[in-house]
Amino acid sequence: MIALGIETSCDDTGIGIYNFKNHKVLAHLVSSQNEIHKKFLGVVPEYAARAHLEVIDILFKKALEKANLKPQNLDLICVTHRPGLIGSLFVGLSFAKALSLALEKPLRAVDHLEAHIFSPFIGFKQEDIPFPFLSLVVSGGHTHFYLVEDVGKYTLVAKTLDDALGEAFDKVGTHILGLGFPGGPHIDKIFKKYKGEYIKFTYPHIKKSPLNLSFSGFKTQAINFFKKGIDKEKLAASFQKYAIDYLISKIKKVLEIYKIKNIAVAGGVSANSYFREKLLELEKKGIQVFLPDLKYTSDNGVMVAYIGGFLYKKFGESEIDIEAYSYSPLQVFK
Amino acid sequence: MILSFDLSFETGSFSILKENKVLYMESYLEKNHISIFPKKLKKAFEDIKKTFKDIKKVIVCTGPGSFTGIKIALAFAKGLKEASNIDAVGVSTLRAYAYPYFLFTPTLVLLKAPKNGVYAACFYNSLTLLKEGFYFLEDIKNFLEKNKGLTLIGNSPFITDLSQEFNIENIDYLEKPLSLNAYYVADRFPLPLKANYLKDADVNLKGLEKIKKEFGISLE
Ligand SMILES: Nc1ncnc2c1ncn2[C@@H]1O[C@H](COP(=O)(O)OP(=O)(O)OP(=O)(O)O)[C@@H](O)[C@H]1O
Ligand SMILES: [Mg+2]
Repeated sequence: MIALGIETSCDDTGIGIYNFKNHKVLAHLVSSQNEIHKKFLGVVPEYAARAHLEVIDILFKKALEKANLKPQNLDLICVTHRPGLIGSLFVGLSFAKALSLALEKPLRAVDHLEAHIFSPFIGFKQEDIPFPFLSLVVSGGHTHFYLVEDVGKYTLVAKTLDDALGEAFDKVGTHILGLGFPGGPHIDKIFKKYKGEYIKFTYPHIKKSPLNLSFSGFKTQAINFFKKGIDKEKLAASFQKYAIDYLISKIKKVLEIYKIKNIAVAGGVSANSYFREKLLELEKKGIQVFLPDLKYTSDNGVMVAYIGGFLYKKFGESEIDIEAYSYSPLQVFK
Repeated sequence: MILSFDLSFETGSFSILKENKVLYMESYLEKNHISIFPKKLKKAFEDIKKTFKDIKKVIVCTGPGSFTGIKIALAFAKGLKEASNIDAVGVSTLRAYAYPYFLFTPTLVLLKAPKNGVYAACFYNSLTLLKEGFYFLEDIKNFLEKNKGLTLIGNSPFITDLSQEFNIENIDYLEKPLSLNAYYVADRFPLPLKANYLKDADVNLKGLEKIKKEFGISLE
C-alpha cells in the first residue's frame, strides 16, 4: 500500500508519500512559510491559508516525480483535518477530497497530534512499535504526555498548564531577545556555541498535579533578567538549559509513576540539541528513547501518511463529508 | 464531460455537462462547503451513473466572495486537475454573476464584501467599464453618477437602496447558482486557476500589540 500524506494545519505545507510494503519514505516535501509570517512575529491565519493554496498542487506534483509515481499509484489519501488553523486545514482537506474522489481511492483523515505521536516510528512496521509507550509531544502548541496503548488508544497523563515549551522558546527568543521568528532554533544555536556560566532559573511548583508542567514562570524570569541587562547569549543559553532540565525531570517522574520503559518524543522542540543529549542519557538508565529523524520533527506530510495507513487498517476510510476542526482534544477515533 | 462549480458564497452550485447538455445541476444553500459539496457531488455522479474519471475539464469560480469558499473551491479544482491531468480553468465570480446581461447591456455587478464594502465590476461584452475590485459605497455612487442606464445585479445588500437612489429599474438582486453561468462564460473569459480575492487579508495587529504590552519592551 502506498499512502499520500497532506499536512496543512499551520504554516508548513507538507506532502509525503510512504510505502507500507517496505516501510520506505518515497517523498518528503515541506514548504515553509516562515518568510511570510516573519515580519508579523507569528502566523497570520489568512496568509497561511492562501500560501497553502498556492503551493499545494506544485508540491503534490513534485512529490510524485520524486517518488517516480503516477497519481493512480496512490492507494490511500491521508490528510490532517484537526486541530489547526481552520482556513489552512480546509485547503488540505478539500484538495485531499478531490484526489480521493477523482482517483477513487479511500480518504483517511488524521489528527495532527496523532501524526506527531507516531513520527518517531516512521520506517517501523506496526508490530515493531513498542506499545505501550509514553509519548511526549513538545511543539509550538503542545507539551503533552500521552500513554499510548495502541493505534487510536491514547490517554492524556500530563500537560503544560500554560505555555507550550515551543511557545516559551518563541516568546523568549523572538519577543524578549529579538532573535527572530521562530525563536527556538535561534536559542539552540546560541546554546551550542555558549561556553560561559549559566544564570539560574527556578522551577515552578505545581502542588495539585505534580506531573503537569508550567513554562510561564520561565518567561517571566527571562523578562526580568533581560530588564536587568543580563547578556543576551547568557540569558538564551540559561533559559534553554533550565527549561529542558525541568522537562527532563518531569519525564523521569512520569516514567516512574506509570512504570513505563519506552518514551517517544515528537514535535518541533524535539529538534533541540540539548534536549536530545539529555534524553539519550536516559538510555543509560534502561529507558528506551525514540526520537523522530530531525526532518520529521516539525510538521510534515510523511507522518500523516504513516499514521493514516494504520488508522485506515484499523478503522477504515473517512466519510467524504468529514469536516475540519480548529480545536479538538486528541481522542479515540470512530 | 465538464464539471463546473461555484462555492463563492453561501449558495453552492455545480453542473455536470456533456456536449452542452446539462446532465445534472444542483444548488444548495449551506455554508459548510467543505462537507456538503463533495458529498453532494459524489452522490450526483452515482445518480447519473458516471465516474469522476469521465470528467475532461473543470470550471470553477475563483472569486471574489468568501475567502473560505474560494479556497475550498480552488483546492478542490486543483485536486481534480492533478489527479486526472485534465484541463481546469477559472471564471470570475463577478462575470459569472453578470451573465448573460453583460453580453447585451452595460452591467454593474455588486457582490457582498466585508467592512461595508462591495466587490464590483462593470462589464459590457468584452469591455470592462469598471475594473474588478473591492470598493466602498461612495466609489460606486460616483460611478453611478457618471454612468446612466446600467443594469444592476448582484447579492450585495446595497443594491435595493442604490436602485432607488439612482432610479434604476432593471435590477436583479437574488443570490443565484452560478455554476451554469460559469460554464457559459468560461470559453470566452477563462482565467488561470488562481484565487481572485480582490482584497488583502486583514492582518490582526492586535496580537502584536498584546505582545508588546505583555513584555513591556519594544519589538523593533
Ligand atoms: N532546536 C530547537 N530548539 C527549541 N525549539 C525548537 C527548535 N526547533 C524548533 N523549535 C520550536 O518548535 C516549534 C515548532 O514546532 P512544530 O512545528 O512541531 O509546532 P507547531 O506545529 O507549530 O505546533 P502544534 O503541532 O502543537 O500545533 C516552535 O515553537 C519552534 O521554536
Ligand atoms: Mg505541529
